[in-house]
Amino acid sequence: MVTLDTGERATADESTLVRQAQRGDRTAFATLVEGYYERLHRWLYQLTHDRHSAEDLTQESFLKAFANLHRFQAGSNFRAWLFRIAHNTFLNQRRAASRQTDPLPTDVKGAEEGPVELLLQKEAIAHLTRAVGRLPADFRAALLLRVEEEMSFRQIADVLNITEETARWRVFKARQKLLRVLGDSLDEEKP
Amino acid sequence: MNCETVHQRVLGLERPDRLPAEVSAHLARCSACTAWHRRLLRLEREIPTIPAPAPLHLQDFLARLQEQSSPVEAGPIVLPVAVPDRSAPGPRKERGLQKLALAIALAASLLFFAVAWWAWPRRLGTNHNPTAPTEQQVSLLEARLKDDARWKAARTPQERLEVLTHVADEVHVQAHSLIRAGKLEQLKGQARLYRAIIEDGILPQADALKDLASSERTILLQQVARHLAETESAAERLALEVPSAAGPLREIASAARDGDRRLRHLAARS
Repeated sequence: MVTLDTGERATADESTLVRQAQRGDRTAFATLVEGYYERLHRWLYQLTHDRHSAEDLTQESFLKAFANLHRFQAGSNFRAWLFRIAHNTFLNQRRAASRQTDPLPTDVKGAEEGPVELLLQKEAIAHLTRAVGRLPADFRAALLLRVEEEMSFRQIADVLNITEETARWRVFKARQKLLRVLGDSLDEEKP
Repeated sequence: MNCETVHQRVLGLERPDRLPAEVSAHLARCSACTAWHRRLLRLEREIPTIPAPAPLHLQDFLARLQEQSSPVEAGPIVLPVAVPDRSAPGPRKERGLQKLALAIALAASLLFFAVAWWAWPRRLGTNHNPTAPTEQQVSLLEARLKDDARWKAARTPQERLEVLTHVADEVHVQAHSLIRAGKLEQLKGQARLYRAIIEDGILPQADALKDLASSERTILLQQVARHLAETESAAERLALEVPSAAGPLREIASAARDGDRRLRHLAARS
């Protein structure tokens, strides 16, 4: 099982795969796809709130990455490069669609019947999902790269084509808004 | 260190679970901030648990990739035209060639920008500021935008408005950086630039959103207005914390407030 980059350091395996893919090895590229597909899809879903758009964008991003592999500089951060392609693809689609607002998530299930604790937990997750979904897309994109992909502000800036300071600012604002909206609901229940 | 300052510091950390010593010291004696910090940590722990649908077509896509013919033949890959392709940073040699191409494109764009600048509809509607922009404001904004690839790529008032909102944000953020670095003498310039972006950039583009559907126009204007309102609040708060920088910060807040009011007025008329 290949371990792909989940933090600051790209593993030797990933660098090897990238070099092999650059030499035309489709199997190597397919391994990279397998490692990043779901994560990229999840991020794009959080941006678009549409599973079909997210999947289209994911595939388009990988196709662009494949077509431009020769331009990727060995040793630099493949994950940030890939997410940057995805973000640019998302922006191009958004401009083409001339949409200014992202619809709220449609796939979030409501609370189901069950034990009280389970019900409360699901309601809390639903509340959190709505709150994150209501963040401006720019803030949401930056926050998710920080929290879910554990990217540094420098890497987030590379992905989103902004300054490091702006990346920090967007994460700052996202956290601030969410804390304001969610407030006491984030307090741990007392045993 | 007061509680508000602690919150500002922690919210801007890459790892809010790794606190600087002075912040930890404050938390040790402040139960309210300790509770606030716990909420933040819980928030960051729980965001990855937000449900998202699993992708449906990974295996199909992998099968397609493994086919003999190139996957890119399956469909056109649309890349932005006449814009440096930032999606694929290449090796140094290619970057050098890209820079040369960019320099040539920039020269052509500057000429285009100079012509387009005079063609901008600057005074649409009675609510636009009747005072002609000063030469200084115009040249401040021009200087800020002339190297901006996003600005050059923007084709419609909507896209330009989006870019200008980002640029305004960046100027505001730069102001914060200058304060942190103690470079207060440069703040006045940032404040003037911020006002130029609002009055000579954002408001004229907002006036020019005629081709959008009314509901879409309203939503967009309200979004930008909300953004400016937040900038106003942030700048006013910081002015209280850093009295030596209060003048320029209040100027930024005032420009944001003016922009917010005028955009809301435009939105109400949509």
